[in-house]
Amino acid sequence: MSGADPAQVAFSPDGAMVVITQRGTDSIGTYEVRADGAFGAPRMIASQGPTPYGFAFTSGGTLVVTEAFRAEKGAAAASSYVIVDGSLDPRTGSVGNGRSEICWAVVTPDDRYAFTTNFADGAVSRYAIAADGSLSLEDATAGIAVDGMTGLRDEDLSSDGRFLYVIDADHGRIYGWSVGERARWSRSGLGRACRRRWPGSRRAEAGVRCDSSRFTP
Amino acid sequence: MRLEPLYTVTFTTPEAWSVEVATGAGIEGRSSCWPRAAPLDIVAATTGRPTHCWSM
Repeated sequence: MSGADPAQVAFSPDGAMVVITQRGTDSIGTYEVRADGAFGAPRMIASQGPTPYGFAFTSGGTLVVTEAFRAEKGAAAASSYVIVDGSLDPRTGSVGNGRSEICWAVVTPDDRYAFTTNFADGAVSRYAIAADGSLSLEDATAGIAVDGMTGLRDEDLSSDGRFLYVIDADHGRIYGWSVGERARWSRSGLGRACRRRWPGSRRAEAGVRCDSSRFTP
Repeated sequence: MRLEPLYTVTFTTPEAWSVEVATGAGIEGRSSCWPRAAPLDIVAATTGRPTHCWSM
C-alpha cells in the first residue's frame, strides 16, 4: 500500500495471523495465514492512536501496540487488542505514558507486563497486561538510560525474563537492566548475561567475544 | 517489578568496546583495541578499582 510506512511485521503466537503496523495510514493490517502457508485477504483496522509502531504479543494472543502520536512531545501511548474470530478487536485504547516518541515493545514471559522504549527521552516504560487483555500504565520511567537523551530503539528480554537489553544505536550503546529484583552485578553475572544475549563465546557479527572466561584479574 | 541498571556497553567500533557498571564504579572491562586515548591505568586510578581487560 502506498504511503503505509510500515514499522513492524510479525506472526501471532499461533501462526494463524500476520500483523503489520502502518504508521503512514494510522492503521494495523492483518493477513490470515492459511494451512498451506498462503495469505488470505488483508484486513485493515484503524489504530487506536496515531503512528502505530512496534508491538508484541502475549502467548495468549493479546497484542500490545505502541503509538508514537506523530512524535508529539509527551504523547507516547500504547493500546491493546485481542484476537476475536481471526480479527483484531481493540481492548484498551491509547494509554499515555507522558514520554515521547515511543518505539518498541516486549512482553515478559509470564505475559503480565510490557516494556516499551521511548526514543526521545531515554525512558523505558512498564505497562501491566490483565488477563482479559486490558492494558494499564504502571511506571512511565521503569528504566532510564540517560534522562532526556534520544537514542533508545529496539529492545529484548532474555528468555527467562530476568534481563532487559535496549540498544542505543545513536551513541553505540547497549543498556542492560535486571528485571524485578535488585541487581547484584558480578563478573560471572555479566558472563551469563552475555551468553544469553549472544550465545556462544564469540559474537561473530560484532567481532566481540563476550564470555566470563575471558576476564583476567 | 523494577528495572535495576546493570551495566552499559559502549561501542566505538564493532571491535572496540567497554563495559561500565551502572553503579558508577567505573569501567569494568574493555576490549584490547579500545582507543589508546584512555589508558587503562588512568581509568583504574580514576575509579580506584581494579580494571579488567580481555583481548579479542
